Amino acid sequence: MSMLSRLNFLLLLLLNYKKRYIATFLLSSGLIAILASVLFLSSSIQEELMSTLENQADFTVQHYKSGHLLNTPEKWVEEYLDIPGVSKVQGRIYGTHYYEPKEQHFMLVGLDMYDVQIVKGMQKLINTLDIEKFLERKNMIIGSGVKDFFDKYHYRKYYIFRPPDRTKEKVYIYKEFPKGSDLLTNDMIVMDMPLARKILGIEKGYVSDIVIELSNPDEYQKVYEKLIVSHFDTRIITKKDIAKHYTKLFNYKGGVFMALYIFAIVTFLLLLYQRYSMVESLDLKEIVILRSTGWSIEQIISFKLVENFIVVLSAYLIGVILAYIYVFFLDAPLLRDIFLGSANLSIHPQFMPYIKPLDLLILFGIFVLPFLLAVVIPVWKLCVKDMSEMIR
Amino acid sequence: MNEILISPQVSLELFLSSLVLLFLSFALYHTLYILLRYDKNATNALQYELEKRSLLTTTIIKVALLISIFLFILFVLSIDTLAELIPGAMCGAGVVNSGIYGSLLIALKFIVIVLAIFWIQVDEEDQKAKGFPYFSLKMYLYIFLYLLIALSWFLELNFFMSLSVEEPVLCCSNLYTSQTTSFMLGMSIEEIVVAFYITYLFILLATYLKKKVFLSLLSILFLYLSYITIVYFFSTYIYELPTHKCPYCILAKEYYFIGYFIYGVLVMANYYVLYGVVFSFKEHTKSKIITAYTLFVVLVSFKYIYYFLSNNLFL
Amino acid sequence: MIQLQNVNKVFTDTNHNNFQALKDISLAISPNECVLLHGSSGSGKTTLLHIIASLMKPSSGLVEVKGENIVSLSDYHASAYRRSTIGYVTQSFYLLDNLSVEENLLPALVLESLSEKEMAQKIKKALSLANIEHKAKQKVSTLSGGEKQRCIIARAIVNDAEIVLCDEPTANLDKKNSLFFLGLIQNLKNLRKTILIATHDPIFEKLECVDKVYNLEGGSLE
Ligand SMILES: Nc1ncnc2c1ncn2[C@@H]1O[C@H](COP(=O)(O)OP(=O)(O)O)[C@@H](O)[C@H]1O
Ligand SMILES: [Mg+2]
Repeated sequence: MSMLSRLNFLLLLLLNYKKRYIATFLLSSGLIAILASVLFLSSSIQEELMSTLENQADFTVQHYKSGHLLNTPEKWVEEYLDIPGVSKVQGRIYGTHYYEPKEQHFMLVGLDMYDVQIVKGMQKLINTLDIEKFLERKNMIIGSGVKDFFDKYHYRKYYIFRPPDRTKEKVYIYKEFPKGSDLLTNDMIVMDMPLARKILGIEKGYVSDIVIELSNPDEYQKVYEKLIVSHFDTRIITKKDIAKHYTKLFNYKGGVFMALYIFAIVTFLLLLYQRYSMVESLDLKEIVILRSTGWSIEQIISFKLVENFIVVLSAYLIGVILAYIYVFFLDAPLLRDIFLGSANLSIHPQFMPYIKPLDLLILFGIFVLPFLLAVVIPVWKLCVKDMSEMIR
Repeated sequence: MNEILISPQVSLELFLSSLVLLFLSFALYHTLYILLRYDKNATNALQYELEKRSLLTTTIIKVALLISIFLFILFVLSIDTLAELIPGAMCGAGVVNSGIYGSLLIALKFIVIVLAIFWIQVDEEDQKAKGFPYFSLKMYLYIFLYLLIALSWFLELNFFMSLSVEEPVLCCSNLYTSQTTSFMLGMSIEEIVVAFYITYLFILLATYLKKKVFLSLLSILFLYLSYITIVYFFSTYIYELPTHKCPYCILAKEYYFIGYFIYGVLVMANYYVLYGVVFSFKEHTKSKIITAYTLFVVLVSFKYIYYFLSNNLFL
Repeated sequence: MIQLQNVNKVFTDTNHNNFQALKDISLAISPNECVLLHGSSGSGKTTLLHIIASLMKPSSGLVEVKGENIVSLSDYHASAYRRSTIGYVTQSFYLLDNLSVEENLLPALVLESLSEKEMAQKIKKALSLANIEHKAKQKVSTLSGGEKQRCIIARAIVNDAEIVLCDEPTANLDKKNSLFFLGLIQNLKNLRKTILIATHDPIFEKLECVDKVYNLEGGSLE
């Protein structure tokens, strides 16, 4: 009861003396909004990468010899099929197509339209097609970045590729990728496998790499060992490797930002300490009133701390909401360039609204709690002042 | 730079705990200052000055407690996400076991939280009673608490630095597969479980009879038994997986965060014992101790009894 | 009711200079007495009131209020004592200007476990006693000096304190308001409060209900 009425009184004070806190509040919520945007953005991208990972094959085998990546012999496919625990093996055809005049890279992927794809994203894409119609002539499906590029150079209907054998291949634009996972398919071009093979110049009997799917995840370690000993000139990429790579990548980026955060926070806290060390006449007045009406020093300290806590907590909430709007409704202008790089083709990602509870916790921990600590000493100093000094 | 150290959770964990330690050191300075000057026969004016000074310690400890609880939760969550980075670790337990200090660290954090709550209580009693009867207790307890927190800070730093993203670790299921492990006095896990329930009954009895010394010894024994039985016995029923023996996963969402309740109630139970032993053993303390322990026993054995009743067999 | 024996107060400033503000003060005040503490500025009146309100500890000496030695109380108990027993009318207008008159009484009430209704009743009673009820909802910053003073008095008595300490209550009031204040004191006296007024305003000679007058000069009683 008394707790509740004390809180009521506190809110009354806060609402009627807004000026006192407005600077702290605005600064805090601005800072939190920036921090939160970075966290949300990186989590969203990470989540999106991880979700594309789910579509990946369990193992990818590449032919790797004296430090060079070579095309992989297709006959290995049969060998791998014999390993117990392996359910599906598939050779893939893909590569980069380089457009010299504009120094532009495209990712060219060839699919066997009648096979079931191990890479589930590709399967989904095929499912949206009328295959008969697609194969009627030389067709391709392109990502939005590619589309923008083609539009810019007026390839509206078709594009002419120049394969290594000096022929020309006129390929029609069948359609654009469906909206969705924008990050990976942005600069991608998908076409029928023989056509891609020709444009990329991959000989018969070879594929770019081989993907392998397991029938049972528990066989993972055994199959992995078998793959390692089957050929010595291979590089084996596991799904876990990729996941770990992504996590490391983002931890690294996160680490850099963390260092910046901590720097920003420490500076802010020092400012705050300064501000609270300068005693305001209003603070003194308030404390004299509370002391003379029978508040103990401890009660006053708690009161002041809760007051600060409420201010910074509301700044935290506002900051988080602002960041949410900025990242997920406005798609984080400026910041996304830092994260994704404005490299290669233009990217228009739609960030999936996705918030990790851990991110919110981290934000809370990095801002609200140090804030509380920073005001402890000044508040204490203020509250234990001698009455005779306070009224002078 | 170590990849573990730069992950956001871990760097935040270290940043905050260092900050807390810094403030606690400041409070320690004041505490030592007070201890050196304190004199029961000093003038009231001087005592009043010292009293005001000790309010700083009080305030810092309260905020530090808040942060410690937060950090405890963050620690559990972050070792869970770190599992992604460490080869072979499937959940937090794998990570904790991969560093030599892991289990010690968790235990230490637990003890620090209980002691901090207790310190705040001592402080309050001290102020409420006339003439500061617990003043020196409070001060020495603070120094002790400070040393524990400093130790746990040091262990934590070492723990995170010792984690390796290269060497594979054994995770919980691999670690505890041997069923015939003997724990203390060569007892098997079933015998330990029986001992657990018997100790619980003795605690009730000791509380009822207000035997303080007995109760404190029993509660320490019970704490140890709880740890073993939760890890090696009760948790397997909660996970419904006889090989999954792990004290951390019960904190996860999949198990409805039941772990926080279990450990929370255990904290409260131990805290009430501490309170009862040091201060007055009133009726309401008695009933609080009994309620907390009973609630704890019910919480841990609920799944086990449910399983037993519905299937009429053990895992 | 209030008893002081050989109370001394020495201030030590940052340069370790000592200044003795109170010297060997002994006095006794009985229940329901109205006592004047006369003294020029700097004579130690405020210091003495602070000590009686247990807002400050004397350097030596004994202070007993209602039979209890308040000097050795911890801040926790000293505050509880002040809350239940003392109504303190501060020297200048210590009020929260952005709040209304009735909201300014809240600090004295929110520590008690009172229901909304009880609180409202207490506020109403105190406001009408101090004759400021008609301005209850008005912001303090818009009040005149006399009204502010009455608001402070209402805050001092809202918790039914037995002892009312007034520190130079008329220092910031004009003649008319000062006279009005004397009337309020008379009312409090009728309510059986024990009243101690520190002042150097000669207008209090007009106050009829004064039982005792102490003269404080340079920190000692004459
Ligand atoms: N905190 C302090 N430190 C040093 N001197 C003080 C302090 N407070 C009051 N004094 C001195 O004590 C004397 C009495 O002050 P006070 O009680 O406020 O006088 P009055 O209220 O009668 O004007 C004054 O000379 C004042 O300067
Ligand atoms: Mg004065």
